[in-house]
Amino acid sequence: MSVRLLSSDSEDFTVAKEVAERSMLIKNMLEDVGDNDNPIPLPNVTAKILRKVIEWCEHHLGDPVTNDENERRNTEIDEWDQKFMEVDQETLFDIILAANYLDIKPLLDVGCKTVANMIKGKTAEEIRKIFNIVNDLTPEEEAQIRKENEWAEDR
Amino acid sequence: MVCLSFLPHEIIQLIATHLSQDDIFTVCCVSRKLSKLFHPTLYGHVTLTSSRIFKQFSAAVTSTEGMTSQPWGHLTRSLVISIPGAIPHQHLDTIAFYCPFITALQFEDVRLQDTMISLAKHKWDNSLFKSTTNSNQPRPYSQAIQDLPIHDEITHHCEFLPLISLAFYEKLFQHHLHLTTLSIDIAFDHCLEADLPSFVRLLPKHLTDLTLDVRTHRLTFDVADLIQVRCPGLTSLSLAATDVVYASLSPEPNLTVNHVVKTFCLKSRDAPASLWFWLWYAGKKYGQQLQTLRIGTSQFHPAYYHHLVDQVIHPCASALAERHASTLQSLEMRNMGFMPEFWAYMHKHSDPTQPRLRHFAFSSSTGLNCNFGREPEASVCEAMLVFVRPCVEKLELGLWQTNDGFDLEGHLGQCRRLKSLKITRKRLHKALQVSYLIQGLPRLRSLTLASCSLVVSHSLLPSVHRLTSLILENVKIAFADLHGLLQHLGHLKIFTMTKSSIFHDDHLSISINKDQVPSVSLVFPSVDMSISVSDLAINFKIEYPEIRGTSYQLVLRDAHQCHGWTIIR
Repeated sequence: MSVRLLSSDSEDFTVAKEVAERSMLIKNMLEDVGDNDNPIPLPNVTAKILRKVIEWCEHHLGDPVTNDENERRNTEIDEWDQKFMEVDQETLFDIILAANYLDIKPLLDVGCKTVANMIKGKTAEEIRKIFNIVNDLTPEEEAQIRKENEWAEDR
Repeated sequence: MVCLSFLPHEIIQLIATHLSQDDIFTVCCVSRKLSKLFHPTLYGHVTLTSSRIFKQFSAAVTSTEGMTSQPWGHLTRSLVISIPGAIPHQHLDTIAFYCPFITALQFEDVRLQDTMISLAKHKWDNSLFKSTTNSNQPRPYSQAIQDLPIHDEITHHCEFLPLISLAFYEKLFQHHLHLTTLSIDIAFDHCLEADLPSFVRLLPKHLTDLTLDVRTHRLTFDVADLIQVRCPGLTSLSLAATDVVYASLSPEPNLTVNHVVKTFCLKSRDAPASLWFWLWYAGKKYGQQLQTLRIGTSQFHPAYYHHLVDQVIHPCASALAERHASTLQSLEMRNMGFMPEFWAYMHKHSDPTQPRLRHFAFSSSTGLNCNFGREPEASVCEAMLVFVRPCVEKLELGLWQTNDGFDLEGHLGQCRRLKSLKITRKRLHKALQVSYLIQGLPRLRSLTLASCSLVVSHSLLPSVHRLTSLILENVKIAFADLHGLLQHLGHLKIFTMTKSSIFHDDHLSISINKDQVPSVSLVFPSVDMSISVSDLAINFKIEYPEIRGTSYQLVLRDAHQCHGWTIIR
C-alpha cells in the first residue's frame, strides 16, 4: 500500500506506507484520516528535502524502533548515515528541521550528532568559520561570558 | 537561509546533549545569538571536578546578574560532583537552594563522611540545643543538624555521627525532591550504629536509577530486596561493597520476581566466590526484561573456588542461564574465573536462532594454570567466544595469558558483527597477530590493544580496512609493522599510542648519530585525524664500531613536541 505526500513546492511523492510511517506525524495523520487517495500536504518541507528524507526512511525501513533515548543518543552515526549527511549546511539544517517537523526521531538524532561533531573540540574562531558566523560580541561582553561561566571552561 | 543561529530551541538542546560542558562553553563565546541559545544548556548538565570549580559554579548560580529572571541553577537537571575529598556543607546548601529541580545527582569520590564530621563538630561547638528558625523556609544542613535532639550523655561529637549521617541524607533527599537518578556512597562504616536498612528507608521512592556503594556494610539479598521495595520504579540498580557475604541456598531464599529492573550491577572489592550467589539472585529475582548484567571484583583468589564448584557454581550458573541466557543483551564478568560450568549452562539454555548478546566483557587477572587441573583455559575461552560470537558487537577481553595453542585471533575473527574490540593481555609471552585478527572482522571500527606484543603480517592485511579508531596502550611493536599497518587503515580517524615501545628492525631507516636524537617518522593515512602519542620508548641497537650491539632506548614523553619524532599526515 502506498501513500501520497505533497511537498511545500507542490511536488507529489508516492511512497510505501511503511516508509511514510517512519514519520510519527504522517503515521498519526494516516490513523486519523484512514485510507484515502488525497495527498498529505507537508507545507514545511520542500521537494528537495522531502526526497532526502524519503531516501533515509527507505534505507532505515527495517531498523528496530527504540524508545530508549539514552541508547539512541549513545549510538554512533553509522557509515551510511555519515555519507547521507555529507551535504551543504543549508541542506543539513533543512533535513534537521524536516525531521523535527515530521517527527522522525532517529533522523533528528543523526542530524544533531552531525552538527555536534562539527563543533566538538573546536575553538570559538573555528566554529565561526565553519558556520559562517560573525562575532558580534564586544570584548567586554565576551569577558563577561567567560567570567560568569568560568566553572565550565576549566576542566 | 537556515543556519545554526536560527535553529529552534528544542533542536539546540538536542545538539547540546552530544556536546561536552567545555564545548558548550566555547559555543557561548561565538556570538550573541549563540550565547543566548546555548547558555541555558550549559546549566542543564553540570559536572564539578574540583573545589575551585564548585566555588565558581556556586558564585554563578547565586549571581543576580544575567540574561533571564530565573537563576541559572533552576535550569540544572543533572549534577555530577566528582571531587576527591570533602565538600563544605555550605556548597551543598547552595546547590539545595539554587538548583531545586535536579533530577540526577551523582557523587563520585566525594567523602561525604568528612562533610558530616564537620556538621557534627559544628553542632558540638554550638551547643546541643535546637535552633529557632522558621521551619517553613528551606534550611541549611547545619541548621537541620542543629535541630536534632541529642541525649545528655554524649562526650564527643563522633558519638552522634550515625544519627547525623542519617539526618544529613534525609535532608539531602528532602532538598532534592525530584531525584530519579542517584549515585552515592554510604558515608559511615558498619561499626557505627547507623544501619543500612535505615538508610535505604530514606531513599527517594521515585528513583529509576540507583548506584549505591555500601562500603563495609553487609550486602545481603534482603538489603537488595528492601531497596527495590522502597524504589519500585528502579530500572537500573548498581551496588558496590567492600565485601559480599556468602548466602545460603539451602533452603532457597524466597524471592518475589521483579519485572522492572533492566540493568543490575554488582561490584565487590574482595570475595569473588560469594559473587556467584548474586548470579543466582539475578537469575531468580529478575524477569526476562533484564538486559544488562555486570558483576565482578578487583581481586581474584582462585583458592576460594576449589571446593565450591558443586555447591555454588553449578546452582548459581544454572539459575542465571535458565532465565537469561537467551535474553541478556549485555554481560560483564570481572575476575569471576574461567568456569566451564557457567558456559555449559549458557549454551544449554540459549536459543541459537535468536542470539541477543551484543556486548560482552570478560576479564581475569589470573590464568587457569591455577585451575586445579580442571578444564584448560583455552577450552573455556573457546566456549565463551562460541557463545557470544553470533551477534556480539562490542567485546572486551582481559586475559592474563592464553595457552600457546589457543587461536585467540582465529576465534575472534568469527565474531563477524564485531564493531568494537578491546583486548588486554597481562603477560607478553605471545604476540598478537593484528593482521590475522582484523582480516576476519570487516565491520570492526574501533580496536584497543593493551599490554601485549603485536605483530603484523602484511600479506594478511586487506588492502584497506575501515577501522576508524586504533588505541594502543602499553604495547610492543616493530616499527615496520606499525608503519605497514597504518598504510592499510585509510579510514582511521583516531590514533592513540601511550606507554608503548617501538623496537628497531631492519626497516627502521634512522640515521644514528650518537650526539643526536635519532629521527623517526610515521606516515598517517588521513589529514584530519586525531593523533596522540605519549610516553613512547624507541628501542634500537647502535652499531658503532666501538660500542657494538649496545641497546639504546629513547623515551619520548610528549612525542609531538620532541625533536626527532615526525608525524606525516
